[in-house]
Amino acid sequence: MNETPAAAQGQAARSISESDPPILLEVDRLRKDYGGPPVLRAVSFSMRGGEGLILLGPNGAGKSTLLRIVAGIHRPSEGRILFEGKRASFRDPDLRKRVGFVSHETFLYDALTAEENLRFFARLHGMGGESEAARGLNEAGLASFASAAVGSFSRGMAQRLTLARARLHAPSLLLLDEPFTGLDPLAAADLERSLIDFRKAGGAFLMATHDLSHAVGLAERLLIMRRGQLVHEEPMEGLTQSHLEAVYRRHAGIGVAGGGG
Amino acid sequence: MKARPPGGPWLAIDIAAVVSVLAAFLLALFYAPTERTMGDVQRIFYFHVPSAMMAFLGFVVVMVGSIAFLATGSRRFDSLALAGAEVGFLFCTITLLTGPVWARSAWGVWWTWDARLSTTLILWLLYVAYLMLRGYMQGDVRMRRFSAVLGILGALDVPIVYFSVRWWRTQHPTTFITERGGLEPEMRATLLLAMLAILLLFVSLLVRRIALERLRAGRDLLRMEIEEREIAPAMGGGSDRS
Amino acid sequence: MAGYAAAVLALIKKDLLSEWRTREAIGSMALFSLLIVVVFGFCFDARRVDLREAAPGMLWVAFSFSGVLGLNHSFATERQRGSLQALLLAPVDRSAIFLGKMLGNLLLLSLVEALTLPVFSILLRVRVLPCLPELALVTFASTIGLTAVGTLLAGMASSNRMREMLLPILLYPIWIPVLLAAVKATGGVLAGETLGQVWGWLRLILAFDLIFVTVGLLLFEQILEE
Repeated sequence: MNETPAAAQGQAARSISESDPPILLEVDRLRKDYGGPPVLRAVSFSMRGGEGLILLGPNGAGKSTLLRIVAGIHRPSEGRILFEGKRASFRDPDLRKRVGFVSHETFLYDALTAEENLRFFARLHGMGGESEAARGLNEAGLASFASAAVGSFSRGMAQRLTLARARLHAPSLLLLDEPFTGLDPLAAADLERSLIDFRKAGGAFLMATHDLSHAVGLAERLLIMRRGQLVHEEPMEGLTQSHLEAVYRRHAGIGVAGGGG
Repeated sequence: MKARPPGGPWLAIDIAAVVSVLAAFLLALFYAPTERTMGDVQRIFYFHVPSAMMAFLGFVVVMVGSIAFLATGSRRFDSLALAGAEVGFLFCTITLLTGPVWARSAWGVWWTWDARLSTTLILWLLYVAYLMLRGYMQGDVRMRRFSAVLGILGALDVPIVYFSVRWWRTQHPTTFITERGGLEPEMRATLLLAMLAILLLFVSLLVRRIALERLRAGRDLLRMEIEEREIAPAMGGGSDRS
Repeated sequence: MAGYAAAVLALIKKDLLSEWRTREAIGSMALFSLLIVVVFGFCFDARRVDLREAAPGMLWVAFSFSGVLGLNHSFATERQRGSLQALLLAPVDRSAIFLGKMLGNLLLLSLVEALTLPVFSILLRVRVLPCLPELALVTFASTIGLTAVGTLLAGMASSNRMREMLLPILLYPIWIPVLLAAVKATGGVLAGETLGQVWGWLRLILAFDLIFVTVGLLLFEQILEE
């Protein structure tokens, strides 16, 4: 089992939490139903600035829905979200200015070049476009592919560009929904490095994942969800992957992926 | 929430509807005099006109239900819109079937592209569009919201269709008021009774249809409760800390 | 306000750029439009039916049919990689997405209409040049109405598996008044009437535009929301 960059950087990740920054995000009794059985039931938790949180749970647990509600894509049926102490409603664009969202879908336009994609999303966020796009490409290591159509990108490259897209407007919170899906080990290591860099710059993230091997060392806390409810919360400090698997199995009741690097 | 079949006053309406429709039939067939030029076929008029009115009333119900649903999110209003669509569609179909029969006897043609008939035809197509959208979107969580949007679009469109065709041509006997003015008293009485009868029938069907939706909603709620009970013991109630 | 306009412009530019790159929609739309004109030209024997009477109707059948294609396509590109959700991430009122999409569709369909007109003029032997400004105005005004309703309904249909079949079923009943007015106004203009003479129809078209653009702006977020 190879040691992931995340595990090696584990020390750095843990030391950030010691300084006790203010509460960045507070989710209060969030509920989502589509007129039928609720997908989310009374989910409440909070996270601090610069903190890394992992969201674990089987399919249908409601992780994606939760992330999308915080991102402003879905409207909650009940409950509220507080960002930096202020109430953020679904209609309110302010939350969306501070939050970035990465999914396993790239949200990119295959027909356009990398640069054009980033320029478009930068403009959507009210920025000029050129300089932000250039910076994003550089940070993602894709500057030499600026004029290549995104449709020609490998999965790993596309994910790097997606992360750049999500970071264009310098969000203080990144929401990631199974971002490691379909990534080969090199691309996965890249993504981990990017997340560590993001943390070092003071960013917080909330990441839903199936894959525990990437969780270890990246984040401070673990939230386990099952059937729309938050069933377990645990600090990740000092946890090995096998311990994590045991905790997961106990609370979510199902086996988990992520053996080996 | 308990759902039970509507009782009391609604049952009275059901009975009144059946009775008055039968009475209207009898009047239309035997009491009303035979029309000079068109003969007995003209009697279909007594059911064609009220049906047309109910066809349009149906879409008003769809619009009200749709707007209320989008504003409140309450499934009750969606049930109202759906019921209005189904019952309105029924009466619109009756209108389009009886209309040509009467038109043939009155003017010698099965169809004319005048304002009223054309608008009724478009109305029918809008009903079909609404019901097909719901059909295609069964199981999709967005179905009710999308139907509500379509309901509003359609309702806004109907008057525009009417004015546009009217600007184009008019052939249908002008307004209902003058129609009534030209009717013999027996005919007028029959028509009024038929209008009342069809209105009662419309309300009765609407209420029953809404009740059916309520029963379904109640069933869904019960299913949810059963699921909750299955989950709760396995969860051990709430989150625990290790 | 500036952010809103910037988002709308960004969306239009992105759609046009994407179209310029792939030329998927414009090619099929223009070709389809042309094919309809040709088929009508064959179907209606010039000796028995005065083609000029039927010409405006044919033109708008061609425009509306190819319009449906374009509308479907405009949301297909968003569905590819889930980018419709990314549009929701923009910190701007959701109606901006409607406006951006609608204007993009409007420009594209207008381009197809402009390409179709010369062919129409030649094949059906209708003189278009003398009344070109009036024709352009009538056509553009009507296309606004078509794309306003079309963008809203295409957004709805695109989420469904049966989208290609569903969209025309939803669109055509609602389109009928503006299509009727467009055909009549076009016919009048081609026959040499002034805008004042076709004002009755034009007024209807503008009312349709106003109502459905407003409704689109208000209701589009209901389509996007989940």
